[in-house]
Amino acid sequence: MSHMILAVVAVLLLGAPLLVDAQGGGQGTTPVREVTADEVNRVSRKLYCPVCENIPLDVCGTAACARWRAQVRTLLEQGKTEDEVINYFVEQFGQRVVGTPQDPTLNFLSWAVPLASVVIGVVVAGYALVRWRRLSVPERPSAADDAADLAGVDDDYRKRLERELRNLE
Amino acid sequence: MLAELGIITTAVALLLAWYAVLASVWGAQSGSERWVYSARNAALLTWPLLTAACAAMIISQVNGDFHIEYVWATTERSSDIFFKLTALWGGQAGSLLFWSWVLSTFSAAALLWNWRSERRLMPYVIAFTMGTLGFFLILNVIIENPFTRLWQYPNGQVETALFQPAGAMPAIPRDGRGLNPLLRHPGMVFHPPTLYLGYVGMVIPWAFAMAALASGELSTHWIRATRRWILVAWLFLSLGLILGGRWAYDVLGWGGYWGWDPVENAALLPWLTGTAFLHSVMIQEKRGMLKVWNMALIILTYLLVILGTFSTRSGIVSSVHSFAQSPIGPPMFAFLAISALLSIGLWLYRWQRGELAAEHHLESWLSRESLFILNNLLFVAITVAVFWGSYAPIFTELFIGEKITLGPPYFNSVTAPLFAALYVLMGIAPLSAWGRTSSKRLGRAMLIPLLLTAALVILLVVFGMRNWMAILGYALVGFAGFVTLYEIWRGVKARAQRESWLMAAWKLFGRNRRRYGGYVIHLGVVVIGLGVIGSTVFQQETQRTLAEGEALTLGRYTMVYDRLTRAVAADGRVMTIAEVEVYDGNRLVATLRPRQDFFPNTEGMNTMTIAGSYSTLESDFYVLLVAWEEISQAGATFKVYLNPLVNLVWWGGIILIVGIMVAAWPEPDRLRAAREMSAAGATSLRV
Repeated sequence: MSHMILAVVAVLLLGAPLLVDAQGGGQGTTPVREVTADEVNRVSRKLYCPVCENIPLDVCGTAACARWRAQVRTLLEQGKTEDEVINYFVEQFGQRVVGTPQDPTLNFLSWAVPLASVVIGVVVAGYALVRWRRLSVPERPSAADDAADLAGVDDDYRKRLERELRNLE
Repeated sequence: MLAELGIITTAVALLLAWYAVLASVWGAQSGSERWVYSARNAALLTWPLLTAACAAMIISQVNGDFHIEYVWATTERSSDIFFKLTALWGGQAGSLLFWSWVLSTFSAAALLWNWRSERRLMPYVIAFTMGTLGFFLILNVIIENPFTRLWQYPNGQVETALFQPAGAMPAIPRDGRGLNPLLRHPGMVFHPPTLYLGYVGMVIPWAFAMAALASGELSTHWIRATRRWILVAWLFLSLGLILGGRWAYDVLGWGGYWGWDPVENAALLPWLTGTAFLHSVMIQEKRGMLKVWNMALIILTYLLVILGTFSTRSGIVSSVHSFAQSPIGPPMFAFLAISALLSIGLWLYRWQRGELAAEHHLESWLSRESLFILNNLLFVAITVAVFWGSYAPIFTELFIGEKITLGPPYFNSVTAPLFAALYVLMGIAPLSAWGRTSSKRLGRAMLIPLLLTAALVILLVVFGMRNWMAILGYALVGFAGFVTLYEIWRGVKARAQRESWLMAAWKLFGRNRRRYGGYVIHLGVVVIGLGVIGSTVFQQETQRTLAEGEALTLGRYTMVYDRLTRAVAADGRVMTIAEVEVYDGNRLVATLRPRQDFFPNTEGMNTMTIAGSYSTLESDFYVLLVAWEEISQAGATFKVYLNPLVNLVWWGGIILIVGIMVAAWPEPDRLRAAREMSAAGATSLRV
């Protein structure tokens, strides 16, 4: 029986790194390549810790974020690409950990709302302008007190400005 | 004694504010002057009462009266007197009291300043300002009373209550917890009050607009009355944003000044709609157009102020500012909903009755009106984009069940083209005329600025710039700047024929402060634009762990790590200080001391990263101490940024503030009367 227990323990010990590796978060695997802090920061900048929301991972000072950055480094050392690292975190913690959602529907939604608003705004403003233009009775050019009225001709401009300032004196 | 004084004065101010609301509405509806005067006196009385409450709190903070829970939570004996004073707005309850005091100050000033000139509007101005104040005082008195005290039972249990519970004795801790470390910075000391002044200042134009809607006095009176108020509010909001950016740059330790944090965005949103209003209101003044739109903009600005206050204080949007969370969320949300219903209801009522109809219609597609409308469209589009980016996590969590984050990639992609279009308009609009302008005339006026822009682009390319997006950005911003300078130059030149250039400039600015103040504001925005492009597109950064004597190179600078020291400051903070030397080539240009401050007695956010920075007009060499070897002190990790042109952001901010001050500075009475007569003459001529 004791041999059986030892065998199970041995299998678990040997299998554990493989299990961790299968999850993509292995800490004890041999690095495939050297990773610089700048590379870690470049990936971390695109990630957000779900605890300290709205603070990018590369600048967050909490211990939790330091552990995440270490995990980013480990994954990069294992030869994972930037996208693979980001996908790993999204799979683990959801869409909130990235600055723009990876999920196609959410990604579409995040861009579509402001773009649709701009389009609607342009249509409404365009409609209003066309309507105003049609309603407009032709008037002679404005005599409004604005120097730009007579832009382009220095003498005219000077006369206009002088007249305007005289009015105010 | 001081706590009792604070409790009584805030409670009486609350009663007076609501009395003023009822009395002013009753007086206006029944035509009773007596009631209106009574309401005015009640409204004015809120100011000395709230001043006394604030004074009671400040004296308690300075004296270290830790029996008051707020004093215990925000001050400590070793605090600098400066931080003891400014702790008034260092926590939720105190900052709400300060908010109320600022609103009562603005309200009293508006009542005294505009009482005679806008007599018909004033009863409703009282009602809307005091309604807002009354709500915030409800929060102050019932939910977040800053004068709540600590009490201790014989069994040692400590409780907080306004008045002494039966069987309990006053609990007086020996020392307080002290101000949140992140707030112990000059930028943070002045950033909240300036933002509050901006936020609260926006209540006054809204109150005048609502008064116009409620009373039916929909001529340009409310616009005239609010012109200066909106500029003052916009001045403080701008200043608050700039100071907030500076604080983030100095203290948050991420090498930037704007992170699109939801709380930053909460302050930016009313600034955007307020800026749109500042432009569109000119169309109503000059042409009697956009009355519906201007009302909508000022209502939106007010609602965004309340939304910003709600979202930052309720904790609904988590961020670095989450220290301000409290249970005031539900009542604030209710107030926001009631304000929206009331404002929009009144607006729709007057609109459907045709009382907001335009006096003129669009004469030409190419006119200053149409360009200003486009400008407004862009500002509102940016507002929508920023609003969505800030609140999308709430909406998606609420409706889809999945919380998302929209970070800088989203904001930069969506807002950059919209801001670029705004710079184009900033260049074209000042050269166009009201009513109509011909494309030929406009083209002629644009010729010199366009040539200067072309020269700028050639220079950039010749000197090695190959980032075409940056070149395009610099060209657009440069064009707006050249147009502004050209317009100022033409004005001065026209007058300089009979006086010196300096005198001509002085008189030109003095006699049309709004126009030329506006040009200075544009110049400020141009300088900020140059700084933003430089510091965003060309920012370089690196992170390295260095042993003592080792060096790293970034851009043209080399940094050598000398040593690490430890020190304990008077307020108890443990400072870990790295000393580094910065070389430009072989020349030593600076010795920097980036450091991390740790506050051992503070819970939560108790570490502050203070950058060491070598600043020139061209760039900032910005060093952060990220980590260090505890045992041997032989190695330290640094994050180093090279931020080109970042100082232009601050210089542009200063120019912008100067421009607003020029535009808002009161004109002598004779000039104002002449301008109003001139405007009236022009209007009658057109009609």
